[in-house]
Amino acid sequence: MTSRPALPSPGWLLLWRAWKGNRLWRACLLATIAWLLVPERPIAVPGRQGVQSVLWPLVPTLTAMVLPSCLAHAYRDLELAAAKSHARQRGLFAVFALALTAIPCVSGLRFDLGVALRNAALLSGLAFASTVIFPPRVAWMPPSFLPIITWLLGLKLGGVPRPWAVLMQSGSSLPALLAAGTSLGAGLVLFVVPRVPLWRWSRDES
Amino acid sequence: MACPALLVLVGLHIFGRSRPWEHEWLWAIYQYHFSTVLLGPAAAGLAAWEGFRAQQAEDLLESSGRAGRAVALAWAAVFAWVLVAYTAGLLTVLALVKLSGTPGLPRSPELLTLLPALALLAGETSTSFAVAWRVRSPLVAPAAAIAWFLVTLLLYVGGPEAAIRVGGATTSLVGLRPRPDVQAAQVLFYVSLAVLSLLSMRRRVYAERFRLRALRLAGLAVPALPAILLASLGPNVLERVPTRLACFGRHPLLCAAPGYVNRLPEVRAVLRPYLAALEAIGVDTPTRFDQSAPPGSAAAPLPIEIFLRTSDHEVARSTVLQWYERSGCNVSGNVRLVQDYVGLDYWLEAQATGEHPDDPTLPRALAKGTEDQQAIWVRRALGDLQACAA
Repeated sequence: MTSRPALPSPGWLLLWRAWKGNRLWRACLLATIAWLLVPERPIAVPGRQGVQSVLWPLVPTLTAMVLPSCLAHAYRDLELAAAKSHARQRGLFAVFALALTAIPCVSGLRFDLGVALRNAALLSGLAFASTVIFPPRVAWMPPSFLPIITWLLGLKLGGVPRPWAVLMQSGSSLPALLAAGTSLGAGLVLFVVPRVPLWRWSRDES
Repeated sequence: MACPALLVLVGLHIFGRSRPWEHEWLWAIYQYHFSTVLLGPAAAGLAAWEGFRAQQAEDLLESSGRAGRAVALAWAAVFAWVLVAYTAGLLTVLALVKLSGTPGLPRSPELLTLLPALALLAGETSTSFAVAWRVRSPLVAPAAAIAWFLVTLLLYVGGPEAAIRVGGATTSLVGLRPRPDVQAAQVLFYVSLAVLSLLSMRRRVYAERFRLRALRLAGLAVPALPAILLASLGPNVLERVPTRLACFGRHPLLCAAPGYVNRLPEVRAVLRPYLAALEAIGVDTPTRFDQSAPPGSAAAPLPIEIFLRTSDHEVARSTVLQWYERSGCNVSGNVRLVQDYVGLDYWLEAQATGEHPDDPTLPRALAKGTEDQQAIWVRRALGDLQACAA
């Protein structure tokens, strides 16, 4: 007599489904494809004479931009009321989300894995924080537009990044690494520690 | 939150870059329209979010009997916020130009450049709104923003540039203006795209009005025709026009746009020592410097850098030397001409400052020669430059 295979706890599957984990999974696939297709050569920055830069450091945007639409489910009234251990659930989901954000970076090995992981951490942290700070209508904007603004405005002649353009700094840049660590740490703390999201103080949006 | 977010982006565009355009109305306004590269994707994302929300209420809207109007108004509400942010940014730019002492006010050619920019924003918001209505996911908001940014980038890099470039100039626009035919085609393309996108959301309206497949295809052709027109108009989105300039001084006469007139005495003082040095050895010098001078004209062009960096004497020397290679000779592609150019630049600097720094890379005639030998070398080098131009 064969024993029945052990099934994963339905609780986590429900959580994964309720928090739209599949969106992250699809974004992860999209980012993997983007890492494989993104050109290596620098591209001329529009509106900046003599300024060229590569696009690949911005690929982690594709996963980070999806995070707010998943994480926002943590603030549904039902979630807040029904969850027994909300901080633990959020923490676990955050770990899964970060892992899914990091996995596509491996397909960017032909560039610089350190920069790819650093930027993924920075943008994910920003996405965690903006989910708490901003309403869903605009929470997707910080992780989506920081890379665009950095690319359009953050480069000097010859493609040298300005000090604030941390996403475009080299892998050995300590300030950029610190910025990524701070962003990720602050974002995780803001998201995991249970609280009413800041945007609910001003106006409730769905 | 949507309007403040858009205002931040507009503010970043204005204050996050240098502002050399502050002395020209057209350059300032046209450069401001480049903010569509940032504002367009943001507006597209916000419109997509509203499209997603409107779609969630589709049944309710249908039951009202005026779903088409409700959907159009939902899009118009987003576009209104975009207009508020865009207008606030434009007024800031106009105030900066006026505060820098530029005379007059913007006129119709300058203000007409607004139409393609606003039409582009309308096109970007309406397509994103319509896509979100069909896709039914909040993810479409960031996806629309990133997609429009990539489309913008692709058109800038791969062309046709006229399909996306509604503004943005890295140098002065004196003597230039946006081509009216390109502007008209852009407005037609973006507006037809916007109308078609909004109509495509109302499938019932579509079915009633366009029963035949041929008519549906004709509907798609509405934006396709101006798109083909845009692709066929060529890469230049600007054209030369005669411009009214204000002039100052005699021999040389300096002519510039009204916004730069108060800088002309300073510019003349910077140019004069170099012209005097050339005249002293019997070389012809330009009698007129003109900010709108096209390549190959008798007048020497006045580059914008000479107004922005008056104290930079290297710019002044290159302004003088440019006249001798005015018909577009490729100096950088010819080693001998590059050496001549460097030597001429050194000689002009030495004549103006009286200093003769020791430079082993210089030709012997310049480094060790008498004044006569130097003059012969300079005349020969300038002759070669002009011969290349011919």
